[in-house]
Amino acid sequence: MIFKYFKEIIKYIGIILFIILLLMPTMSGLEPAGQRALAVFVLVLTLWVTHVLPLSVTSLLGIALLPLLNVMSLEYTFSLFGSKAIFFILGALILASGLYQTGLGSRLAFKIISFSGSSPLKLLYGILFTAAFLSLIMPEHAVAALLFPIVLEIAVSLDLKRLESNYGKLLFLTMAWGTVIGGITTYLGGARNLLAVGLLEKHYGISIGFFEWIKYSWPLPFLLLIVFAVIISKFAEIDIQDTSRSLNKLKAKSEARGDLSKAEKKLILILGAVVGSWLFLSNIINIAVTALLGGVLVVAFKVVGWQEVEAYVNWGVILMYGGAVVVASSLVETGVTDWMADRFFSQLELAPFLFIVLLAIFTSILTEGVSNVASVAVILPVAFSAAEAYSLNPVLLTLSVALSGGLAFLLPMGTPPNAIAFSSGYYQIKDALKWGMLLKVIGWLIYILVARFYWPLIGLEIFI
Amino acid sequence: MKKYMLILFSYGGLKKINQHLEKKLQPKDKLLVRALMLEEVPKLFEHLISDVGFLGEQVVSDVEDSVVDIYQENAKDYLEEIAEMAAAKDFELDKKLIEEQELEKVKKELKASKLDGIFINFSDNEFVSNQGKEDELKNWLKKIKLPQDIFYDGEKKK
Repeated sequence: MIFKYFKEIIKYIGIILFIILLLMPTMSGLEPAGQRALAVFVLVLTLWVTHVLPLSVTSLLGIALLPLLNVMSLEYTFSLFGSKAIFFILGALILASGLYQTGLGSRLAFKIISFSGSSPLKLLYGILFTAAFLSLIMPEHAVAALLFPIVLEIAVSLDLKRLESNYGKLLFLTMAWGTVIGGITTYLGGARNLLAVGLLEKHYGISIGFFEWIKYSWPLPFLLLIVFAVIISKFAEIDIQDTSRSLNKLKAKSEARGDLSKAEKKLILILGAVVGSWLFLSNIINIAVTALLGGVLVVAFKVVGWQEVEAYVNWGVILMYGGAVVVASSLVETGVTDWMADRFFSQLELAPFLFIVLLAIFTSILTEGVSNVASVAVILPVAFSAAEAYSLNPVLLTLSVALSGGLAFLLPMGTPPNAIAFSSGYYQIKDALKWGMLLKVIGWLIYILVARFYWPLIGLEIFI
Repeated sequence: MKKYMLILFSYGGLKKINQHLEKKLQPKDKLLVRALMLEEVPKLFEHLISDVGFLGEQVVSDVEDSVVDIYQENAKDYLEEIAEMAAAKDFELDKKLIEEQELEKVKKELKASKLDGIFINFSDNEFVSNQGKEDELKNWLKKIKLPQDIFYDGEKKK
């Protein structure tokens, strides 16, 4: 209820600020177009946070307001929509639709989970690592959606009572958090990663390759998974003795699927080629082009029909990402980020590393209440301002915002896997808060260690 | 001999509901149980599609179907459980699964049954319960004079 009122207040503050910024004289050091861009940014930020409109519609509003208020020309505004990140996301979503619709994703899930043995703890580990592993190759949303019925079936076969069984709570939280942790590792797990790199490229002309991203990101999910596994085994109360009943059921279901279908075999070949190209040929073929070609092959070789792709993909998401790129780029184009760097960040007497840590913590808090894409789109342009003021490495800032923006553990509204797990009815928000807060704080500590010691070790320095 | 009705929107925290029933019901009392069969979860659908930019309608429908299936299974299981409890505690039981659109019938039954009290288990979780249907009954209950013990996922509302 408090959250609802908070959102209402934010909404009105945003609208009032938008009007004030449009009407007031131009602030010193800022171009008139910059001030109008800032006004649009504030309005869009407010609407993303408060969900007054669907995310994609808010993005469209941003795209429409920028030329209308003469911030950027119509042609230029629309051309920003054609970013590589958007087309990579499009191709990746079509590929992921193949994994979902052919059943290859759930086959993989059944297989990995059924290897986990009959102890309750091992079953939880099986779900955790399956969720994390699948989130390396498909969006974390899709992984949660395909694991959800499997985990529900486990809960039912073990006769776990809603809100009463601690093991029931652990099952669903493990599923959600496994996908969240795994989803930050590659571009495929969460499109916000690529959105962040798209913004980096627009602003600085620097790109991060598919493999390079994994090189930077892997310690964070790897250590978080280990920490979570330890939390489950040492501190969580497992109130059942045996899970062999559910395991037998899973094995039977897995065997009933029979051999790989033709479509699944074709998909494995296509995915192998696409991932191979992303890892080894990204200097020759841009990863967005490979993703699109992969998407084309999936339909051309009848792995899935176009209608199935259409039913799987929420096209509004593409609009949402496109709008985020356009609105964030308008701040850079009109000099708002430079102005913020001069006006605010150069006045702050903060140690640069402390600033980066605070930025990551702030992003990870914001992402609990706001879509993680929106968090990245809102914070990254501001972070770039700071990069200029402190001479910070923008790659490091991009990673800090994108990785922290993915780690939503606490609330169902933060990310779809949490919402899906919550819809099981097996746990309450207070249960997620109890373990999620601990995981979040540990996540911050791991981030600090990675940023301070690991990234400089592989050549990613804090300063440029 | 008293007569009560239990309406279930939520199947969470049923242990506490059972404890409450055990305290309230005496041998030979009558309990009418009306277990709601959820058909859709509009808030979940809307949230996943619009608020967090989830995947397409097909995937959301799959998730929603899983929620509805488990909900319906829980409803059937609970009716079996309460029948065992009635036999053990020697109270009379009249149990029914009701479809969402039959809520009107339940209201009529509530009026006609001359009850001594009503127990309802609502849900705080808008993703597992049709909040529109819950609100409909809540608004209607304000208009009738009947002792009400209201629970949210097994927690009694103070």
